[in-house]
Amino acid sequence: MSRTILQLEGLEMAFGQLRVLRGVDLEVDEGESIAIIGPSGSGKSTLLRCLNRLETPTGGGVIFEGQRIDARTDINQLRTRMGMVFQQFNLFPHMTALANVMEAPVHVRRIRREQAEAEARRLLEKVGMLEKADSYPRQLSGGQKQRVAIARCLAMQPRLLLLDEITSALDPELVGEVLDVVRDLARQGMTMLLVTHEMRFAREFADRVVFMDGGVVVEVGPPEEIFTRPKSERLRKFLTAVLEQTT
Amino acid sequence: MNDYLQLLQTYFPYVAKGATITLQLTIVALLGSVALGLLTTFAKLANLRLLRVVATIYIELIRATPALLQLFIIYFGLTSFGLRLDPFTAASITLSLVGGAYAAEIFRAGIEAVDTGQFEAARSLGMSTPLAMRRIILPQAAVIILPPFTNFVISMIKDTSLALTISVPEIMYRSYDASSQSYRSMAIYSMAAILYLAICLPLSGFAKALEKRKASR
Repeated sequence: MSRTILQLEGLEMAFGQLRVLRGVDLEVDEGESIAIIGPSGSGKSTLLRCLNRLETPTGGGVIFEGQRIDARTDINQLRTRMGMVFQQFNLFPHMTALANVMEAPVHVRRIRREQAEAEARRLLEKVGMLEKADSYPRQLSGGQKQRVAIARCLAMQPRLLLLDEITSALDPELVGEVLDVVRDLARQGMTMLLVTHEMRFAREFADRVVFMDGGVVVEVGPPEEIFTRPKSERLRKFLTAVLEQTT
Repeated sequence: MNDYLQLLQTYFPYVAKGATITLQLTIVALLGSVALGLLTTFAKLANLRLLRVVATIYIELIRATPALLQLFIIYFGLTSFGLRLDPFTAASITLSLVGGAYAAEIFRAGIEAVDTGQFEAARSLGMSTPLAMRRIILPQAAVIILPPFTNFVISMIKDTSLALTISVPEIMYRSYDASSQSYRSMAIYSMAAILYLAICLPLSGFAKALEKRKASR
């Protein structure tokens, strides 16, 4: 029996009049890999951003590791347990790959520099970027940048990873190397929420797939079910449209 | 020609001594501007509305009135309230106030030019806002700010000449003085021009080099 790590209760988010999330319910078990798919504008990215409070939800609740997140929650502390990887990498351009990975452990977790460096090198090796430890982001390809960004995130030892369209800004031939890293993490039992347009990857990698449309979760289920036996008309339409695009 | 050399001999040391005062005034005013500018920038970026309003009013008041007027208000105007400042102090305060408003705009533009994703990435790693500013945003903003800030320094050097009007013995004051004694305006003011050029041209070359380096990145 696995433990629930994250629970969303009717999560809502509105930007003025625009209601982007209209009550999202979802439970995530520890060690689960979840792919979130859906048309653009369906609220997928906003959902992730609400979870680590880059946006403040306008309604509903989030319970993370048994703790309800509200105005009294220490957001900085919360974010150290919930890592986020961005579409645009957002590596710190004035620091080497190694320094990028060491930055938060040294200045937020306040661990010793030597220890942080050893840990950072281990993580860079894990994502296959150890030989580029001393390179600056501008000297790296998109796929390499994203792998460093993942290592930077892991350095905080998060309990949950939020991956926001992490391959959307990459040239097609670089997507594979990043997804390999994600696949590895899933195998090692990292809990992950992955917003993606890579349907093939979602299908192969995810324990469950969440289909969002219009700010709500329309369907949740194992990939086989979602992709081969969609129940709702909206999902069927979406899958048809996506398949047409890729073939 | 001989006559020129004589004039140079008599007045150049006197005018050139003004360069020391000009530079002193520039340095004091720059320190004041940077301090005020940073304060104003952070006030403008603050969550508290009151701070933002105060910062905006300060910037707009300064930018919409001539610096000479501000200098006269500080030096002559304040005497109505019994506050009698010596000329150098009055000029330093005025130029700091003026510079602070312009520097604030340069700093803010620099900070805002840093991609918002940088701030989000820093925050998502658990950094507090001040830590993210210090470690991630400001180092990147500094690189962006350097060329416009160098230009700002140059205009500050030239603006110190306003202090002539309240008898601060800087370059302009001394050349005005020398020219009224000698009746050789062209010759004397040319000396002043050469002094300003000698100070400002290297700086402006430095700014150009910085901009070129940034463009080639």
